[in-house]
Amino acid sequence: MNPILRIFLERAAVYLGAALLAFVCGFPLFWMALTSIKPDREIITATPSFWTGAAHLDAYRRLFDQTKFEAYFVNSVLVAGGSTLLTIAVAVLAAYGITRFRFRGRESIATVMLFTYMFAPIMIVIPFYIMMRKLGLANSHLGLMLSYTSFSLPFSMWLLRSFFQSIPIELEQAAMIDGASRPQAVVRVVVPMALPGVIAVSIFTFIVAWNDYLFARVLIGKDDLKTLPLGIQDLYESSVTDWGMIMAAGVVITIPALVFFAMVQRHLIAGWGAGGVKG
Amino acid sequence: MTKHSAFARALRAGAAAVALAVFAAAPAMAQKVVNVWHTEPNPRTKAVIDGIIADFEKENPGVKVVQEALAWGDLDKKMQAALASGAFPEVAHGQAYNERSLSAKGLLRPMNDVIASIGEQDIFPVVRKLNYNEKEKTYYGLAHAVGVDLTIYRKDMMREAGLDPEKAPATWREWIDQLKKLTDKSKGRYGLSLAGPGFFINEDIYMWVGSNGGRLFDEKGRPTFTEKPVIETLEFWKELADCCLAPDWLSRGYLDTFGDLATGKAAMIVGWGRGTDYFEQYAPDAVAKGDIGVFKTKPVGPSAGGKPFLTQFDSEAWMIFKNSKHPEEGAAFLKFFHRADNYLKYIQSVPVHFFPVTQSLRTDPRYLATPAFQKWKFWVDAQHEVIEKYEPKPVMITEWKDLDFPFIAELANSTILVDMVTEVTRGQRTPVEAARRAQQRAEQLITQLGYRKW
Amino acid sequence: MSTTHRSSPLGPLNLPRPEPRERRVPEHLWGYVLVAPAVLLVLGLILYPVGYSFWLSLHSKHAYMPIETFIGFENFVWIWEDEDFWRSIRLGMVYAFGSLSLQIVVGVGAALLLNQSFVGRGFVRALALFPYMMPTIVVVILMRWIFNDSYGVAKFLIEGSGLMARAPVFFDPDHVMLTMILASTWTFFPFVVIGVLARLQTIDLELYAAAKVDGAGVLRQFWHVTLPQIRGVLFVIVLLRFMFMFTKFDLIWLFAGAGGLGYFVRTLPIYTFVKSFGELQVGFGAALSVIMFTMLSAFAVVYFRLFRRDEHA
Repeated sequence: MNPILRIFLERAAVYLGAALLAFVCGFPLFWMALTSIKPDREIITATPSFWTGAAHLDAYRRLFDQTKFEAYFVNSVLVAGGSTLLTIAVAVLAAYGITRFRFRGRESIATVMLFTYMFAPIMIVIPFYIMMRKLGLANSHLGLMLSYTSFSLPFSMWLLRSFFQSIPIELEQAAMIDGASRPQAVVRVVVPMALPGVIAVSIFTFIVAWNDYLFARVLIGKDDLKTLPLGIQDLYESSVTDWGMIMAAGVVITIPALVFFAMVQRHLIAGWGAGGVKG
Repeated sequence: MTKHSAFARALRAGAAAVALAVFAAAPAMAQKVVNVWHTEPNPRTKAVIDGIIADFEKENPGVKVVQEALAWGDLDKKMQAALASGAFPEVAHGQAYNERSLSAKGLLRPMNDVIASIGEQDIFPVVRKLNYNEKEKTYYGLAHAVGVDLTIYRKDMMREAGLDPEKAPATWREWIDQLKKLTDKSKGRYGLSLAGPGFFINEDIYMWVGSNGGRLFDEKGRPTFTEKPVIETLEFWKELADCCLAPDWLSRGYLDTFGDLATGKAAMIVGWGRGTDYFEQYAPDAVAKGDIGVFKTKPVGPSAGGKPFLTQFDSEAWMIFKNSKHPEEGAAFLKFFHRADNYLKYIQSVPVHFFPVTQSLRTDPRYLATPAFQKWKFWVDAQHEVIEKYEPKPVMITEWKDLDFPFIAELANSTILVDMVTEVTRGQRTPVEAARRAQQRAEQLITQLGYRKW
Repeated sequence: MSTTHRSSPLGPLNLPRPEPRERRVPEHLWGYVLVAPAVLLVLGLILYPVGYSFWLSLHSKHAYMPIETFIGFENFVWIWEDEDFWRSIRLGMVYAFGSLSLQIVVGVGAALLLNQSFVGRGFVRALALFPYMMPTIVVVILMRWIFNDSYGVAKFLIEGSGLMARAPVFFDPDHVMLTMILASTWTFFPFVVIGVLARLQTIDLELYAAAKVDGAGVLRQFWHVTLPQIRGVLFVIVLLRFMFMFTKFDLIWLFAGAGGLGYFVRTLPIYTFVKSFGELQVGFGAALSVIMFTMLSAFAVVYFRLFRRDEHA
C-alpha cells in the first residue's frame, strides 16, 4: 500500500477512534450538565432538545437551599481524603517492609491479602457494623475510613510492592554510604521515585471511598455525617423526582473530580507503568 | 530512629487518640438521644420535623432527637444492621406487616399511652382496626398518616378515545375494554402504566386478588396462591401486559408512572396523592385545565361475588422499640408530635397524600384551608369517601386476620409473589404453574422460619 | 544487589550509636513491624466478619432475633436443591464474564489508542477516565435517564439518526442484562485503561522497530510485541475485575432492584441480599456467601495455575 495512504488511514483511524471514545465518555457528562440547566418543562418531553434557550441555575439553587448538599460534599472529601492518607501510610510501610527485608511469609502476604476481595461486601457489612458498634465507631467518619482503607489496602499493597521491587536498592545504599541515615535515604531517594505509584494508590483509594454506597448507608445514620452517594440517593427517592436538581447534584460531584483527575493523570499513568514493569 | 523511641512515640500517640475520643464522646453521653427513623426523605417534611424537634427539645431539655429519613429500600438494611447489633432506634416507621412481625417477636413497646393522649375515639375506626392488636388487646403502632390508592387518569385522553371521563369502570372486563381503546402502540401510548419494583407488584396483586373475592392465606396461615381468584388475577394481569402496558413496564419506577401520565404516555395509573406535586411541576397545562382526575371506585374481578373492591391503605406505622435506650422519651416525642398544631404541619408537608388519622384534624378549618386543596380537593374527598365506605387494607392484607401472621414481612420481601407475576406476564409459565411454584416456595419459607401451623 | 557476608542488606552504617554495646536489630523484625499495620487492619476488619459468616452458615437465624439454631449443613442442602440459586449462578456468570470481556476489550483498545500521539490526547485521556470517577448511584441514575424509553436521549439519537427504525427498549426484560453490562463496561473500563496504558508506555520502542524490520504489520506487532508485554498487568487486572464483577451488588441492585425487573438480573449477590435482608434468613444468606467465596477461591487457584508467569510472587 502507498505509504502516504497508509499513514493517512492510520491517522484517520486514530482520530476517529479518539472522537468515538470522547463522545461515548463525554456525552453523558454533557447531557447531565445540560439537563441541570434546562427549565423543567424541557426536561420531561417526548423529544429531547440538545440545547436550551432558557438556561438557568435554578436547579443548583434548589440543591443548595433545600438539601444539606454542602455538608455531604465536605463529608465525602473528608472521608475520602482521610482514607487515602491512611492507606498510603500503611501501604507504603508494608510494601517497603516486604521488599526490603527478608522474613518468612513475605512472598505470599500481598497475594493472600488479595483473597479478601473474594468476600462479597454485602455479607461483610452487617458483622462489620456490629464490630464498629462495639468499638464505638458506628455512625462516625473514622469507622467509614477504616472500612475503606481495609478494602483498598490489598490492591494498594500489591501495586506498591511490585513498584518498590523495581526501585533498585542500590539507590538507598548509595545515599547511606554518602552519610544519610536509613529514614533519610528513604525520604530523599525512594519516596520521590515512588511518588507516581503513591498517586496511583491514592486515586484508587479515593475512588473507593468517594463512590461507596453500601457501607456508608449502613454505618452512617446522622444526616450531618452523610456522604454524597447517600445524599444523591435520598434526593432520587424523594417524593418528587426533581431531575434538574438530581443532574445538578451529579455535575457538582463529578466536575471537581474530573478536574483533579485531569491534572494528575500524567503521574497516575506513569506510576502504574513503573509499578507494572515486573507485572 | 531506634525501635524504643518509635515504640514510645506510638504509645503516646495512641493514648492521646483514645483520650481525645473519650473527651469528644463525653458531652454526647450527658444527653438522652432519641433516634427517629422515618421514610419521608423529601426536604419539606424533613424541615417540618426539624421544627417539631426543635420545639420538643425546648420543652424537654436534656433530650436530643435525631431524625433519619430513609428510602424504603434502605430501611431494610439499616433495620437489620440495627437489630443485629442491638442498636435499636427509639422510634421508627414500618409497614403494618413489619409492625406485626416485630411485635410478635416482642420487640415493640405498647403505645396505648400515646393513643390515649391523642384520644382513641378521635382516630378513624378503620385506622383503629388496623393498628389494634386483637390478640393482645394492645396498640403496638399508629399509622403516621393514611392515604388511599386510587386510579388516576387523564380526562382529555379519555375524551379523545370516545370514553366518558366521569364513568369509572365497574369490572375488570370494562376496564380492559377502556384501556384497549386508550392504547395506541404505534404512537407509544398505553392505557395503563404500572410500577415494576417488587414492592408495587405486591401491592397490585393483593389489591386485585382482594377485589376478586379472593384471599392470600387461609385461617392457619397457609398460602392460598393456587385458589381460583388468584389464578384469575394472574390471567387478568397477563391480558393487561399484552394489550395495554408498555413493554418495559417492569423497569418503571413508581414516580416514572406519574411521569408517564404527565407526558401522556399513559392514560391511567394507580397511585396516591403524592403525585400532585409532580403533576404541577411537569404537566402544569393538564392540571390547569382540570384534566387530571381520580376514580372513587376501582373495578372488581369476575369472582368478586358482590363484594366491593379492595384498595390499599398507605399507612406506615410509628413503632417504639422496647429495647432502645430511651423508649419513654421516644413515646413522649410521639405524643408531642401528635399535638394538633404539630401534626397539622406534618400533614401539610405532603398535603394530598397525607390524610390525617384523626377525625378532628380532618374537619379542622386550618387543615381545610391548606392551599393545595384549592386544586386538589376532589382527590382528598375521594380518599375520604373510600376510607369511610370501603375499608381499605394495608399492603399484603386481604383479610384483617392476616395481620396476626408473623411472617408477612418476610414473604413480602422475598420476591416470591413478584416472581410469580413476572413469570406469568412474560409468558415463562402459565398462571397455574407459576402459582403452584409460588405456593411451594412460600410454604417452604414459612416452614424454614418456623411459623408453619398447618 | 551487592553481597556482603553480613546478613543485612543495609550495608555499612554511619549512625552514631547511643549505646556502647553493639546491637543489631534482626532484620526480619523490622519487616514484621512495617507490615504489621496493614496486616492487622485488613485481617482485623475482615477476619471477624468472614469468620462470623462461616460460623453463621451452619445455623438458622432470623435477622431480628439474637437466637441461632445449629442445623449443620442443612442450609447447603437447601441451596443445592434451590432452583433459584442455580439460576442466580448462571445470571452471575453471564454478567461477570460479559462485563469482564467487554471491559478488557474496550480497555485495551482505548489504551492502545491513547498511547498514540495526537492532538488533544491529554483531553481525551482525561475524558476516558472520567466514567470511573462517578459514584455508582450517579451512573445508574444517569443511565436510567439516558436510556429511558419515554424521554431518553439514546432512543432519540438511535431512531433519529436512522441507525434503527425502533430503538431497543433498554430496560425491558429482554435487554436489561445487556444494558447493565454496557453500563458496567462504561463505568469500569477506565480501570483497565490505566493499568494497560501505564505498561504500554514503558515498552521499549526498539522491540517495535525490530518487528517492523521483520515485516510485521500492525496486527502482528500487537500480537507478538504488545500482548506479551502487557500480559503481566492483564493477569492481575482480569483477576480483580472478575472478582469485582462476580460480587458486584450496588450497580445491579440500584439498576433493577430485587423484584420485577430484578428477576432477570438476579445474580448471586442480589439473591444473597434477598435471602438475608428480605426473607431475613441470615444463616441461609451466610451459606450463600460461603459458596460465593469458595467459588472465587477455586477460580483464583485455577487461574493462577494456568496463567501465572514464573516470577517472584
